[in-house]
Amino acid sequence: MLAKATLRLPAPLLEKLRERSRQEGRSLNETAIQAIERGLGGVASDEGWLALGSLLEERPARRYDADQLRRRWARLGSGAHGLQEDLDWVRGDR
Amino acid sequence: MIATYLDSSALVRLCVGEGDLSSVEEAMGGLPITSVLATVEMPIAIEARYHRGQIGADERDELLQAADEILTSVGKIGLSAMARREAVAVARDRLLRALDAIHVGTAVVVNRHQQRRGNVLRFCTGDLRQGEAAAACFGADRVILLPPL
Repeated sequence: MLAKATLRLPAPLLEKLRERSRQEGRSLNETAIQAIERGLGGVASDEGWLALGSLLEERPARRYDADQLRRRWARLGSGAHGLQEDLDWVRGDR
Repeated sequence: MIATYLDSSALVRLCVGEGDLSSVEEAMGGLPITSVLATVEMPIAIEARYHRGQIGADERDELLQAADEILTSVGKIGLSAMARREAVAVARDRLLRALDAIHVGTAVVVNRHQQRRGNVLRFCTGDLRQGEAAAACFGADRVILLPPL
């Protein structure tokens, strides 16, 4: 979800943003978001998410934790298997 | 980093730990994407299994927690007007359920966006019909069809 805001930037900084935007072939908005994210401690892998721009309604809140998931699998019985059949039912297959 | 669109059929397998999940887990380590639709489909599939008496309350809670952990690790794409239009377009040429079409249509929108930036999108599913529809849109080499269980 994107929110709209008006920022007043020093003219040289705005020119730097425009220059970076031209160099990278991105919109000024995308370039500004990326720069702000980095400035606030974002990591390089954020770039992939940032590139999705307004298409992305919700960014991941955490990294995938395979070990934690495996511990959950170990607590599940065989009755949990076949969940895709339930998904098929949800999608309208009889 | 390669972005992979994961259909709910791939995500529910991950939720239970069922079948060969190597490609799903690889995708989860990259740039995993799905539709907001998955946040409705996955918990409802789990609730359906519970209401049919196939799992108890404890297992239902365990699965709901697993689904939540997976979904919060994935980027979610909204049901925009563009995604809805593409879903209808995808179903024009083949028999496709509405929710399958929404996933493929959403991936079409993401793919177009990625291509403009020189990036690649893969599509991962455990559903054969949906996989065929995705292959028609993106090419078979970009579709990961999980083997049947």
